[in-house]
Amino acid sequence: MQNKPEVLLRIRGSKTHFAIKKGVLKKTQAFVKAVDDVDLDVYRGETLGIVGESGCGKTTFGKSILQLIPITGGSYEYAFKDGIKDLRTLNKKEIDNARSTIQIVFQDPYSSLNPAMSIFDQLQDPLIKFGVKNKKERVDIIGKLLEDVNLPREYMTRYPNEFSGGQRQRIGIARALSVNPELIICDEAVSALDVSIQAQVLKLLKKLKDEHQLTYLFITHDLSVVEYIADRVAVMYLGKIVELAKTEDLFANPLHPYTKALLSAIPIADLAQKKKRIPLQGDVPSPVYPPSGCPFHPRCPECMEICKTQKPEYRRFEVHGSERYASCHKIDLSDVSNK
Amino acid sequence: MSNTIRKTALDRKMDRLLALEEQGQLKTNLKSRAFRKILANKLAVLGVVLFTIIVLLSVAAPLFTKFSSTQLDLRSMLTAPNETHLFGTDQLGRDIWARMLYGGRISILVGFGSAIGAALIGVTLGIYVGYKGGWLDSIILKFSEIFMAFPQIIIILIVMAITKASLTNIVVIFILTGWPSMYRMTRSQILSIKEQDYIQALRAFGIGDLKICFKHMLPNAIGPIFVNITLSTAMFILQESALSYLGLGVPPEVATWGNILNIVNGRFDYIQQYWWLWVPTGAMLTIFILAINFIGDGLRDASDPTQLG
Amino acid sequence: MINDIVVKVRDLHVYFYTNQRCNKVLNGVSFDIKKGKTLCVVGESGCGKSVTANTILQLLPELSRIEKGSIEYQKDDQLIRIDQLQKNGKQMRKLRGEDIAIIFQDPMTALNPVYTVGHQIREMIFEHIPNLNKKQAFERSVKSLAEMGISAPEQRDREYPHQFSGGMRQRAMIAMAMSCAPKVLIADEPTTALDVTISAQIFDLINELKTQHETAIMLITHNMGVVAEMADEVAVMYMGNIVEYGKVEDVLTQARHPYTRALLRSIPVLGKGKDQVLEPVRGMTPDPFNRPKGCQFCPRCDFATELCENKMPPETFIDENHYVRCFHHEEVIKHAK
Repeated sequence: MQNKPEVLLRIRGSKTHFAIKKGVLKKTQAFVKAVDDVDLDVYRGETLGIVGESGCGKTTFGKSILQLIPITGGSYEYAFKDGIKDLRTLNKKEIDNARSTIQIVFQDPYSSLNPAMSIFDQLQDPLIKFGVKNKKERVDIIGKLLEDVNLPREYMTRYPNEFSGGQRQRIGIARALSVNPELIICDEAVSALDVSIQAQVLKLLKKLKDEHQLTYLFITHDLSVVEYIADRVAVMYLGKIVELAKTEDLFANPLHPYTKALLSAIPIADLAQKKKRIPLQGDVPSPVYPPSGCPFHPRCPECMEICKTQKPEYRRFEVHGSERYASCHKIDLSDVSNK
Repeated sequence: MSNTIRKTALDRKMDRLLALEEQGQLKTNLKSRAFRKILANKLAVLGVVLFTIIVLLSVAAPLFTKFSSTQLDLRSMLTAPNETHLFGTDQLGRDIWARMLYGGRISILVGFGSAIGAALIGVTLGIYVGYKGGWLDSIILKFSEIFMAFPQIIIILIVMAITKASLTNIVVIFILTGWPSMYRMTRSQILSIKEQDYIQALRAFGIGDLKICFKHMLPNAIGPIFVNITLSTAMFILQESALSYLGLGVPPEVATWGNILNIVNGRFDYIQQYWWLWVPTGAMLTIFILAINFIGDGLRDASDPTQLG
Repeated sequence: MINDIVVKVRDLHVYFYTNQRCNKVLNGVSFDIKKGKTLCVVGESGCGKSVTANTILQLLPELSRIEKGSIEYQKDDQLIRIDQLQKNGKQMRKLRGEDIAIIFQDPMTALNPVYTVGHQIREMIFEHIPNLNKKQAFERSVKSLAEMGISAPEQRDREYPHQFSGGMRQRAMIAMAMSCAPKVLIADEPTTALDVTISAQIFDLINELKTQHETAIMLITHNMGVVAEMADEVAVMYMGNIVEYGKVEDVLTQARHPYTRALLRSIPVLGKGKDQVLEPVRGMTPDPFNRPKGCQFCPRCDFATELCENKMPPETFIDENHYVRCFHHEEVIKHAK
């Protein structure tokens, strides 16, 4: 890479553990380590994909950036216009202001809109909060937002039950855009949509990114979608990032055995591409009692003795001038660098 | 197993719909779904009719009787129903029909007022505390359990021992014992609503708690709240009658349905000989409670999207 | 081979009558399910693919009925008209599970949490093979669990559904479905609720059933990738019709219906990278109560003419196994070249 991109959000040692309480006295029995020690830099203007299977902690990680859930540990340094600040040390007023810079688009288009209120009614509250006191102005802004997401502005008086899933999702995107954010967390934003609608929303997200200079954190379980939209991809497994690389590098030469298995498991809608599947045994272990050593070792086809006892470090590699990260004891770079 | 399947009523209904659909006569009206389901529910419609009649009779009582509910007439005690006294008179010569109408005013007021009061407390607490959660939620939940477990009659006896029976006391006691069920119902609604993404989205904008609670969540919980208010109204009217019958309710000179029945309390001879003392009032009370329950059930079915129709 | 056809569906019409309206959910659907082959039914939500599956077993809601068409099931030498059986009659109940089995999307709610997994499988076995004693039934349920790749089947047999993970539950569901060795297995989006690595395991299992037991499989999915990987034959559904039907090679590489083509162009394909062009299908799925008069895809189609607006295209056979419901299929294929 020639010039180092600007870091928008630097996350170090992010941890989110949920206590499991049992019994009459609600004693804490154990912890679900939903997110466990994640380091991640988000660059300004990129689309960073986060992929993983259900329960790997990707959604919790996304929500932890918004400070919507109690976080156990770590730092979230965000480059605000007036300097770098840790999101976790902000006071209530500062965090309220910061909410206009980080926004979220949800997965389920049906639960993301309030069925009892018109589109205008539910989109205007954020605007009021961030200082648009004049109603006419709010009507203008919401009309403009709806046009931005390819919906007629007249739709603002309608109720959610009059819209299809794809339209609802676009309204959800319009709502996130209403406060001019810099970073948008797309939490499985297209997963619940029908395939023909998925493409509409994906293209819309790409267009809006250029128009509004946005940065996306794109959380999904669908690797084909991530390959299409992301610049870099982080693969999560059991609350940890196991591999991070530029999208092309990750899909061409996955380093971690989990990434390899994941890529091989995806059914491809192309009869010309036949590939060998790497079968994975068993299920994802419970994040309450993660396995010793490398969390992936019980399912890993390349497991060695050391993997069972020692946690692999999250290491940085450089291949052909582009950096990538992986945490595995058995990484064979010769395989990759010869290509 | 025959090849010609007999046409059932269901089949005929479907044939009719198909014919209408082919003619392009059917249109979907999104908002009237619940309303249409209520209208299709014959019992609920009957409930509404009976309810309206009884409420009108009570509210416009002077139009339907020339007697007062408290006027004693010692010359015509315990007269059987006749042309002047539609349902006869009681042991103090008061006109039963007049007392039924005027009594309806108080009974309905007590029932409805207590239900609204209980709903105000229960719903407000349920929404806000249910949304916030935490220790306040656990404390209020325990509190509501205590209130629900405490026998109402004991509270009433305590209050009676300290002060004397009055309309206000009855309503206050009903509200005190009635809010926990409202609270718990609302709370369980809120617990599921607050996990919806649109609430998360509002939180992500930093919108204030009160605004989220009462502007965004309340409208989504209003259906079950209405049903609950309706059904509690019926319950409170019944309780008032029961208490008044026992002589523990409103002061005896005030006419309520329960107080009218109080006359026959402990007087087996009255029950046997003077049926008009209790049969008309009892019937009216029963019809009214049934009507409210029909309405409540209709509302519940109509607001339940899982029930097809 | 005619004898290979186990289930033959012709011109099936199913209408729903909920909310005082008539929704014409299926409008003339024809297909075959063949022995030892997988038929994939693919389409977007609301296209009628699940209704098609449920109709074969007469598992339709109360306010709905088969209006027209036939479903024939070839039971050994006997031909059974499923559409003429009583919905909950003895014969229909016997067919379910014993001859045709179905598994559903959500393995989390498909098992009863208060009984052990083994008990639920045995209930099914006793229903269809009544003269079995307890020990034989136990052996049979353990065997079917073992066949589905569940380790320690004796122990798992005695466990409750909550002790199973999502993938294991779907295996248990398949074990239950296969315990009476049905000839047809209908799988309604069996892996939508599961993770990719787990769905890969389930698909391997289904393929094994196909090759080893010659089970006829009808797999319902919305994922073109699954189609490419699993199907021998494909039926593409749109708004209550099969718009294109044929061998998987023909449909995926020589798609003749504009909707099939549009669908294939609108999905990102793994391995094609960032620069692949996605072409969303324009417009949106019409309201089922306000359907286009002619071809259902007409308002969204680039090839539409006046003819399409007014008339539903018939099933036009390209060859013996490949049919398409489009007036302009010649043009479509020419345009693609």
